[in-house]
Amino acid sequence: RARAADMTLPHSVVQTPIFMPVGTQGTLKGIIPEQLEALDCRIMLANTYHLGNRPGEQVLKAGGGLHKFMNWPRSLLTDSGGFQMVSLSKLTEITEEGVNFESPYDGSKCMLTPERSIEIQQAIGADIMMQLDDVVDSTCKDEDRFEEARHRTVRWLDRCIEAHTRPDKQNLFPIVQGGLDEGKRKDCADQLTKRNVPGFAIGGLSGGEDKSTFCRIVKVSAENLPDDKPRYVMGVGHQVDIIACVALGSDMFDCVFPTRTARFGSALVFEYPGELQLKKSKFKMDFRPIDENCDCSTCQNYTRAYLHTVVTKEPSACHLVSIHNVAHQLRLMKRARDAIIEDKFPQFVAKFMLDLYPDKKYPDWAQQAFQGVGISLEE
Amino acid sequence: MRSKIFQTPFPLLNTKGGAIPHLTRETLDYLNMPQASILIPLQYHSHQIDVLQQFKKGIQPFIGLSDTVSILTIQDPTEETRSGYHNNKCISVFNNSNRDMIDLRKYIEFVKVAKPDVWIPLCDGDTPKETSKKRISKAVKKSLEYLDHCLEIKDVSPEIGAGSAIVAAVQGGNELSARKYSAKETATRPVDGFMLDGFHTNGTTADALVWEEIKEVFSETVNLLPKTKPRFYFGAARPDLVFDLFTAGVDVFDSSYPVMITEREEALVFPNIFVPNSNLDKSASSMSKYQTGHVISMRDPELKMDMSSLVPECSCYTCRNFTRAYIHHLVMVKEMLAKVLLSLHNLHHYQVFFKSLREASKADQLENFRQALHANQ
Repeated sequence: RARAADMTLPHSVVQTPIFMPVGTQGTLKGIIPEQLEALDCRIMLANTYHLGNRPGEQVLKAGGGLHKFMNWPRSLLTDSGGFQMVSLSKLTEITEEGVNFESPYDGSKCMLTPERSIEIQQAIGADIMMQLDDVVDSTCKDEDRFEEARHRTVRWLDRCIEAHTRPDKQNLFPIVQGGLDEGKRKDCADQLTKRNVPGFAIGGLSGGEDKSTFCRIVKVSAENLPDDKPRYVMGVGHQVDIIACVALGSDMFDCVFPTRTARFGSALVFEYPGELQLKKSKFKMDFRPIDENCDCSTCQNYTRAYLHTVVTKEPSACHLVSIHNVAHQLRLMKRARDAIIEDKFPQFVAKFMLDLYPDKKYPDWAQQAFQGVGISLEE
Repeated sequence: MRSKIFQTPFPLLNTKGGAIPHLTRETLDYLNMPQASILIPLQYHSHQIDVLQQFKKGIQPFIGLSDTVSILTIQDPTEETRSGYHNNKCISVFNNSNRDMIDLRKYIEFVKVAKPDVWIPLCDGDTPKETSKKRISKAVKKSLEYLDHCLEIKDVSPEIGAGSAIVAAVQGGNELSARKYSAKETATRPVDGFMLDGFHTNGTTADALVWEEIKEVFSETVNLLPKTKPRFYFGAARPDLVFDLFTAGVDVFDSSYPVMITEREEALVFPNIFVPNSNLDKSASSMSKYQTGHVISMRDPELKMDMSSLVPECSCYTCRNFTRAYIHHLVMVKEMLAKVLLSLHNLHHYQVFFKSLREASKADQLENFRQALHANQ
């Protein structure tokens, strides 16, 4: 089921499967956009909620859109702002009209409607915009709420499409909802597919649900979406999660994890245990780079021993590990993509998992997910 | 010493924990300097002797800054040094709150494993304002003793490298007789240069220095030093102070000042381009292209919609690619990139200032340049 493709966007061609680093406030944790270009990153994320507040729509318009404002010439994807509103604010009220919320900054009341979300996203100017969806936490116990949410999501999609005045410059993706019920998911996917949209996102996951349920729902959602359009699983994530989702038929991923964990001095690697906690004393005399096979500028110039002395102390240490972690994620995706193109994806997955779990004690959920699509791991 | 490779006056790039603040090897390239020279304070590395010993390649490769020229000093000029912690045998250095007592033996061991290109012998510059004559004289005496020992050991230690140069620290606080003594004595030793130490205790105390208060002592001190050897001065130096120090005979400075400005989330905007043969009127009009004033605070709400660069026609990476509005936004949302971009601009601005200083000096128009600095203030 794994696929590889070239996705042509206004600002760049993106080769899927792809991981998109998250530059929440119009910047990626102290990294200059040109450094990302050097890593051959083709697309990154920005958050509508944050940018809509600061610097705000007016400034973004005056600045010629976010690409120009932040000096990132390649592609951008923005979320709708809905998710953050629900997760960051203490008081949100969702009505048919939109999301009513209280700003955590100054307590002021604000309404985010599908129309307003599109308006802000158009001011930002991202290559891919997300619809405003009615997102419910996957651990919610109220089935009716999920039912209401997925129908409303479809209605809001239509309003978003209506409000979207630049379909030639910006793509609008709908988001499949439906909680953890396969039937609801399938139905939602069917509804969204009826609209003429360039791609799809699978949302409402990566909350508190367990991993095997997560995989089940991703699989069902992906299965019921057209083959010839990209599928974006929002908020994923850790290495194994990403590869599992690729195996289940998804193409695009985003997560703050690589850059967030860099702040704490944690570097991503392919071998067990998948992360190096550089603060640990065992790295004091380790004069190897984070990854001997990595060609990012951090691995070309710095040793684990040096990074050990500066992580969490000097701001540049955060930049150094962030660069590596983004490079790592991009390399992971490239390896997956190359394997798919060469028709060797199952072998790639087997090796990938063995490197991470040399004792072969693979997590059950992952093993099952891979088996479910015909990939067996080394015993 | 290095004067044939470097045109003086020029400022060194400071490092903290082995990194130029906010910059990495990769982003250092964006500063576009043909040859970077860096200042490495012992205080961040004295506890790394065992690591450097194992590493064997010296401190520059360790901190990821090979192919730079390195100068090892004791205390970090960008941060105020804690006063009163030295004793008879040791100099104290602080890394965060951790105190390390450095005696000669330990210092020499460090120099051996760090292998800097230039090093300042262990010295006692702890002579802030109001220090007693007795303490000042002690600092002078100890520094000379340390210097002599270092010179002896350098002679017999191949590991230190014949290629490395020693820059001796001249002490004496603001006390004329102590200074003259220190200068005269130090000048007789076979060193490659002199560092004018002890006029402040780094950090904001350097920024607070009033030239009028030290100029007599400073000038007399420098006059006692051989003219053929370079003079070093470290500590935040605003343009005016740079003029004064340069005129008094200083050749090599550091970049504490732009580092400090960046930490304050400000951008340097003072006129730093030397226009030859300009009279005051002309320079006033050419300077009118620039922002009036000396720095801009990136928190200024007026910058919110300002899509111009920090300084018009500045050739630094930040000014070529980013706007005031964007940097203002970064500062307001507390993003790390703010200080990265400000560092690139402020360090560049300071470097250009020194380039202009060199040109103005060659053209014998220093006064002209200095006045242009104030034309729009």
